[in-house]
Amino acid sequence: MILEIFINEILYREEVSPEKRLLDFLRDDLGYMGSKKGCEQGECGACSVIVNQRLVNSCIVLMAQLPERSRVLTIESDEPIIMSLKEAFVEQGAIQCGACTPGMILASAALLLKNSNPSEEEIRVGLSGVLCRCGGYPKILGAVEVVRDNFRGVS
Amino acid sequence: AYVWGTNIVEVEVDVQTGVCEVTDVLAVHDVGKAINPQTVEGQIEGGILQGLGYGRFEEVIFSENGAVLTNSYGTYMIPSMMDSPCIHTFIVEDPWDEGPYGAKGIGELPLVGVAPAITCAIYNAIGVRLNEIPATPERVWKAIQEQIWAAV
Repeated sequence: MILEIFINEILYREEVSPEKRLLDFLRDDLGYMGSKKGCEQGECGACSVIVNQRLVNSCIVLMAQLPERSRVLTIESDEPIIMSLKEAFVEQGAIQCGACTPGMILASAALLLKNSNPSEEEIRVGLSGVLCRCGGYPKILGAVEVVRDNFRGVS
Repeated sequence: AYVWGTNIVEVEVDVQTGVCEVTDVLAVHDVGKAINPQTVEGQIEGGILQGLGYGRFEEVIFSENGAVLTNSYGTYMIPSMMDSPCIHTFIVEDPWDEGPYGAKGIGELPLVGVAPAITCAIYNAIGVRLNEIPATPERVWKAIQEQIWAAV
């Protein structure tokens, strides 16, 4: 099928199999390698992207499921909230091996875009779908709080 | 490498259900020299989470034929953001002559003491000694019941 889709605000018009997974479309067809293949079962969140303002596990989303001209945000996006999160993650040392980082940043972005002033508990719930094995969660939580506090001042 | 480290763990045990929540962890590690202190701290925090999972919910279960039954994230439970306790880390630097800049190392070492500290904390809280991990609610509840009935 021919599909029109926005990836990080860039419009693509591609021939794609309906049963292809969004994760494979992003990585293999378009070269967006930031979203990771963690478990391929929708359990670990390493493949998380934002589709039409919803956080999804792209490893279990089929291209056929996407509405026409869907808008997808990946870790490669230069959307301000994502850029701020990238900077905070680096500064706060929230990246240990980095495998979960794209998923964590997308989950954080999805949370902050819906709720610009989340409590610690709300941040934990918002990020609970992305697993981290290497650096643990404290610095990730800290980085999200830093971005929340900076954005709070702006809005 | 050896672990020159100490862990102190605080748990809250619900004696009705056997659920043991880890609320606070203090970890002190002598790393010789922390070349990148922020990364060392992150590594310690990660090891603590891994030890927490080891102590609380991670279990490899086999079928009678030797097939691994807990072979996905849905069955082999590792800690999520919801399980992350309050963590305090202290880095001690007692340099080792033969290490780079005096470093001894960190890596997987922070994992080691956490699960034993959890079972010690459970004993401290409710006087029940577990000699098996993970300290699942079922195991803790059963141990409490056995202790109650032994006293009868």
